[in-house]
Amino acid sequence: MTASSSNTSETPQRTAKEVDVLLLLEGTFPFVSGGVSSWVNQIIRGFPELRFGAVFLGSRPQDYGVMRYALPDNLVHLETAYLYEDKLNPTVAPAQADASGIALMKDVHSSFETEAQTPACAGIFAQLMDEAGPDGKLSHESFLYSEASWDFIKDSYRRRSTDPSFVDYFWTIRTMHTPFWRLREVALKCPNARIYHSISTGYAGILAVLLKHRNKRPFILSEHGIYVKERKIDLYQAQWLKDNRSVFDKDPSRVSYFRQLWIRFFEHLGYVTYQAADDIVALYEANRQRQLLDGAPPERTTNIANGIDVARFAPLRAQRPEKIPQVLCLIGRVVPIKDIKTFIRAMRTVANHLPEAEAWIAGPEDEAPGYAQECRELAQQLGLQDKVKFLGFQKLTDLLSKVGVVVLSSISEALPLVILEGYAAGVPTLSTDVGSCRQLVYGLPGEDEAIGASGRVVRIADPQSLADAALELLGNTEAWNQASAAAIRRVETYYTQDIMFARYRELYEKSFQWQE
Amino acid sequence: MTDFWQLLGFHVGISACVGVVTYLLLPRHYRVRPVYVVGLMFCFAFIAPVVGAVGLLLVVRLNQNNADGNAGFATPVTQGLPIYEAQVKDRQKGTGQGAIRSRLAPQVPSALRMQSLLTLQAVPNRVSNPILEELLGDETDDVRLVAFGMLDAEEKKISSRIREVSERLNAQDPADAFDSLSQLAELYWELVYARLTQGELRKHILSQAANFADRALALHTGSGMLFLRARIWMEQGDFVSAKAAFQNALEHGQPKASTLPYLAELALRQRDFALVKRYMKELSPLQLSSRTRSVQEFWTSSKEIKYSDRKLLQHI
Repeated sequence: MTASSSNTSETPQRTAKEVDVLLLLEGTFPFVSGGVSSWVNQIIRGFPELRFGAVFLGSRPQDYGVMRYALPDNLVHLETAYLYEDKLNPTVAPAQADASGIALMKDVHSSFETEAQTPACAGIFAQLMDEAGPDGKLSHESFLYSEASWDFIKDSYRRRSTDPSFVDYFWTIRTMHTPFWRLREVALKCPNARIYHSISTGYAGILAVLLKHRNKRPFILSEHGIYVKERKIDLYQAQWLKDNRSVFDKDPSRVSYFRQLWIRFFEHLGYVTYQAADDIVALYEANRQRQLLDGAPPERTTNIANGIDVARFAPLRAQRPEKIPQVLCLIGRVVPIKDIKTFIRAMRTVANHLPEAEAWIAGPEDEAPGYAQECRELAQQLGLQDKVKFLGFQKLTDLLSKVGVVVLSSISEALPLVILEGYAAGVPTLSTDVGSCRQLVYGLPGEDEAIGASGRVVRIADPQSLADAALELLGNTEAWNQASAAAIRRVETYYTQDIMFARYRELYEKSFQWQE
Repeated sequence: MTDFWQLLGFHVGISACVGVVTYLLLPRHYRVRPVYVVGLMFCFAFIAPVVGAVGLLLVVRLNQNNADGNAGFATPVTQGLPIYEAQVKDRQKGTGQGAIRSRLAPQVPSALRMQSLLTLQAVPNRVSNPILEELLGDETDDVRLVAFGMLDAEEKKISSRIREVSERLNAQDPADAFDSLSQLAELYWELVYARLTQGELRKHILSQAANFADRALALHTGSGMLFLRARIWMEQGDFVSAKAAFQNALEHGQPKASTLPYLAELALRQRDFALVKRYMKELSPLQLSSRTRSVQEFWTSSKEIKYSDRKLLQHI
């Protein structure tokens, strides 16, 4: 979240035939606020000399509201596409499938069926999608309505499914494949670009694979979180996935077939994307290692940390009152992944020991209103209605000088910008041990580590440890001052946006160079 | 008049021919029920010569590529459904339910750890929750987050029940509130019993449970609520009040088989071993679970404890 983001109700039309960099975005900028979207906004504004285009991929139009960001002037093309919009399916009509098209589809599925990874899969997949047009061997109509396709699904079910329900199998296969025809249509409509830059694997990554195959232009992949990992975690917990095994077949130690099928599907999407990408960027080393594990070729990977505009926050240091503000502030969307409930629970203990302390939650509540309501009710249940304040979206430059410690109780993060923004304002951080937070608080081994701790890191979902660490920082002026000084030094040395822009400039220039 | 009848006859004849010819020129899927179709075409030709039958034919021909129109006339084909054959599908090897903890160790391959984690869904919460709690500190993101998700879902279920009952309680006459108050006491207790809260928060939740139990008891002194109140006191470390409440629960009809083990535990914590033995002897003639039975036999038997029974007595 940055000050430049705001609710913007108008949807300006931006179309161009040619762009320098085409950003491929899934469920982020400009319709969803958050760290990744802010980063996209920052990158576009950071290269005013380049003409950017963006393709926003979403599930269904009704899942998104108005634009959350004012579009930068150098974003000259913006396109939105929804992958699960039912009305876009072809009308039901008899269709014939070309035998060679079905054979091609069988080949691709067989290459995915084996555990062994096939580096050529990106090319094979893209060739298959060449045939997916209305005049190709594998049109969407023939996949949906032909007898040959039905036989193919029936045969796959017989050979592979360990779940007895054919109806669920049939619809799962259809749902799984539908986005590919949509992505192909989007790829045909995209403007010419000199570089394709995807911000995740998944569907955005696959779109980049198709675009690279058609137009032979470089493809850069920057991952904040690891898409495959996040999808897997969602799928392991998803309640909508059915398990139709009978009590006699059911073994609780075995993942249900459809769950496993979806997991494998996203693993394959990730692998295909990694194989097609020319440069693969992670935010920090642990994520890069994870990319390697998921099949990224090591020689194409690199780490580029997030960076912020330190100068924008530096004046706030002088505005802070002499006494440490007894305010713990969680900056972020009020959504389950931020585990705001743990912060509220920790506040019960903090309030017992520091009666004047307050917990502020600064972030929009409209993404998961049900969860926001649960958080309010929890505060009430714990008798904290006067201590926990829900502030909604706030401009950080107005907020940070009044804050004693920036709290991040998330269960999953990558390299959170709010920690860096707090650091730039001289505010230490109290974070859960997720993503690169340990590296941001204690530093990487060597000179970074020698700077000292710029806050504290605790286990996820552990209100007691979070409270203890907060009490330690807020109740000890010397410890707080040390953490504040380390925070400023760390962000100024390693996490400025100039460093980040310089690294991306190198990548972009390398990709532009061979085209000149 | 004769001319008129001749002309009419000629027009009927021509209309019939046009009806037959246009029928033959129709796309194949329109050529069903010939009598009706030829009759219709005849009518068009008879009523509106040229424009009628030929016009209709043109309209049909021009629209015959329209997929929507065709779809309605497509002959449905019955397709057989595949038959599920369980015996040939079993590619994944089941690993059974035993040794979950060892299969969750960090050195175990990630996929197997995830499977083992899901196995915990089939284990009682009081057993699985402490394991999940440990996994919140795991180095692998996937394991940590799935463990969190499972604990969170459990906590959410109880919290939403608390919300529902609280709303009901607020709308009730205080004199009729016994059921709601006792349910709230039980739900807050469940958060503690299922080990979903730790540290100072746990103390707070226990005090909430105690508060609702006290309010329920003020309306009606039942053995069940007395028993719950005793367990809350025991958890809070107030052994004297707990003992009095357990005895009170016994007097109000709480079964000995459930109450005496707790009284024995209180005696053990106060290191009054003779009293433990006395309670265990009292338990002897009662119907007990196998786990409680082996503890009871340990305290009352003069014989050596069998090795197999030792496994049930890990605290010794």
